[in-house]
Amino acid sequence: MIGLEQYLIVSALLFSLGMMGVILRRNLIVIYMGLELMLNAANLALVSFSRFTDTIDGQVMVFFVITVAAAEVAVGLALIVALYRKRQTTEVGDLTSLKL
Amino acid sequence: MQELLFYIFSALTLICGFLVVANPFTRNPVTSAMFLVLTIVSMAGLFVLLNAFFLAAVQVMVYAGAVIVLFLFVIMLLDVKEVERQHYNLFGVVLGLLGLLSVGGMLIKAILASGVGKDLHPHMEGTTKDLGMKLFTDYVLPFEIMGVLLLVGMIGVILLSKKNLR
Amino acid sequence: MNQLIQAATHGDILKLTAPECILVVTALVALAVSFAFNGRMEALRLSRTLSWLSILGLGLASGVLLFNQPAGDVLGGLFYTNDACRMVKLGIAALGAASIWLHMGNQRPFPHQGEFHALLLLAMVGMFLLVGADHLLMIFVALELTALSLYILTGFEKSKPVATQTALKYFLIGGVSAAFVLYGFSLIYGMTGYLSLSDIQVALTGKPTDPLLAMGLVMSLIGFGFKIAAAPFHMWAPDVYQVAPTPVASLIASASKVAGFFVLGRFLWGGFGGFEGSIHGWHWSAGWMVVLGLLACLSMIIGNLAALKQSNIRRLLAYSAVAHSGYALLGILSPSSSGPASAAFYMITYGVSIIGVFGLLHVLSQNGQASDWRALEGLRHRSPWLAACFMLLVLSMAGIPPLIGFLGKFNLFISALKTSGNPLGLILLVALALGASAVSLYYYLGMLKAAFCKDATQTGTIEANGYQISLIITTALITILLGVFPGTLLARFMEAFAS
Repeated sequence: MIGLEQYLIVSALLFSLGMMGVILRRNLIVIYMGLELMLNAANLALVSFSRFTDTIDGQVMVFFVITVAAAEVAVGLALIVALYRKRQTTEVGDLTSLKL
Repeated sequence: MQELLFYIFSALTLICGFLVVANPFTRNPVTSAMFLVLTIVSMAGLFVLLNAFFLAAVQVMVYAGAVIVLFLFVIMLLDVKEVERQHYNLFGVVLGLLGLLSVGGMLIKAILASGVGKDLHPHMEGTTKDLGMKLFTDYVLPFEIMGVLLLVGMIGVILLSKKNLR
Repeated sequence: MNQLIQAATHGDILKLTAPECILVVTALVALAVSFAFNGRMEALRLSRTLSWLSILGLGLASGVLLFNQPAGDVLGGLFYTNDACRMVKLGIAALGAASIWLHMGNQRPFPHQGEFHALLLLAMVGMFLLVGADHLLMIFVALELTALSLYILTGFEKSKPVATQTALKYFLIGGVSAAFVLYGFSLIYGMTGYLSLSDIQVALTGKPTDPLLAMGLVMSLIGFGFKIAAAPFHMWAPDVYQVAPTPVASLIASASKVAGFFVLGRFLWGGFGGFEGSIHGWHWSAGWMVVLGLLACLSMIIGNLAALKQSNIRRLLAYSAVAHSGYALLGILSPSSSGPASAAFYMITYGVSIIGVFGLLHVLSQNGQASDWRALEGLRHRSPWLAACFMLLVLSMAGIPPLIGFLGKFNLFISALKTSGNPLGLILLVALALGASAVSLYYYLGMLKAAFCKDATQTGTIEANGYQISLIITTALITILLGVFPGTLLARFMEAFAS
């Protein structure tokens, strides 16, 4: 029988993978994908908690998170496009002021 | 059956998630985007196993249908080349991996230590009707706020990505 | 299916969120006006019209807050208003209006003024909602609304490449912090089964600390730490303060911090009142107080030390703002109701002085000087009045007696020391804060020394228009008048938070 713990471990691993992408990758677009993975990990945790604690609020929250994430990605990609027009780059290392 | 499906979907999610962020064969962002689609779809499978059918559909439609298309569109628009630069700052990489391992390790250790879900059984049937009822009664205020948030996103995207200021 | 629309509830929602609704409508009107008159009106006139419109909207919202706002909550504690919320919202509205006033002094407004004002107003809607949020979902949504508007505003002058870069950096760090907050919230939800803070409080009473819950709490605190720019999560602040358009930087430095601190206090005391642990001397017991104490400690040390070696004044202000976040965290750490009250009062009064300083820096950069130390040199000869105001503002930030900054700090420290049981940890933190303030005197007095004792590298009087002068003089007057006669305002603050 698959319990709550298994789902949570999958979500924790996914969160760590997303963070790895954000920390280690140099390409801004891939960094955004890492961010998406982190948000999705939280979604998975919310849905499984919702299933196991017998409340629907978690699912409703996932609904909102998906919307917020879509808006956020759109703004982030627009920033990349604006930057690319000036600098012709999507690499973190090429952005002098971006010391992350 | 359910157990088998869980293992298949979660393995797919994690492997594809890994390939999104650290593909050993290619650094091409398009490949990452493609694996992100696979991650999202297998996560939708996990949602189905958790009886969240509507969210599974939304996940596929919004993420795989809209967000990934946006990613691909930007990659194509900017014509991002595959970059073969490997000059990693060793200190940064080690520090990053350490931070990562500590966060991931602490999370998993906490999950195992807390014994969450010992006496919990899955019984929530999140039907679409329940979700809709909740969304338009108790959560109607945040729902309205989402409208404002999307307006902000829209203004921002048009403003930032338009070519010339007039 | 008529239970979907509950007319009474909708009316109540409208009544309770009237100030927010007014601001949203004002933002939409600003957009419409800019579309209608764009090109048909001179750019400067259009910009000033929009600013007046925004200030009018803020004034209306404040009027509703002052005179016609019932207390209560909607939809089972999703959103609430009480006296404390109203006071803080009034403070935020005042700081926002001051930021817009600062923008009006701009003689050559950048393009897209309508969008600029709309986004400023919508960011403030997010802050208002954040102040009233009593529910994890509402907190997340309001945080994102504020943050998304501020990212766009930071990169607003996209003719400067560095603006876009800074906005990207802010966006990336903000996005990671949002992911942390969200994951923390999901763990808290899972361990309690509730999203509403008051329900969480009830569900948690009498239960032992679960490791997963602690993890969720720590992850949310990391996320909040990014939002209020507490060290070690402050790395976005110096760049944003330096590059963002001046009104935006002053909004980020003042109003958004006030909202962040208020919601942090609400989140911790309203949701996790029994889980604070303690920092009694050397016998710490696990709880969020330990984490928060650590953040406060690091913020005070790192903020002040990094500020010492800055050459750019805006970056210096950013690091000193990190240190001020550290002081204000002391207020949240003290368990009595006077703690959060003095933290909010401190952040609002600090916001007033920093907006004044930003206004002055804006005037100086308009007169053709970069914002490094040399810009300040000889300010006394070039404009004695501005120099006097500058002295009042800076001394207030440094916490010198008759000014408001001293009073705010004094209140904070007293409320931290008054805590029953006399926890040694808090006393140590207060001692550290006193030491840190002494260190901060070095760079604050250094700024004054540059302004008063050095000869000007550039000659000629400083030109400033009426908007700018009135803003700087008003903020300086507020720091001294409120410092000398704090009386009713401070009392009302304490009273509002006590209930």
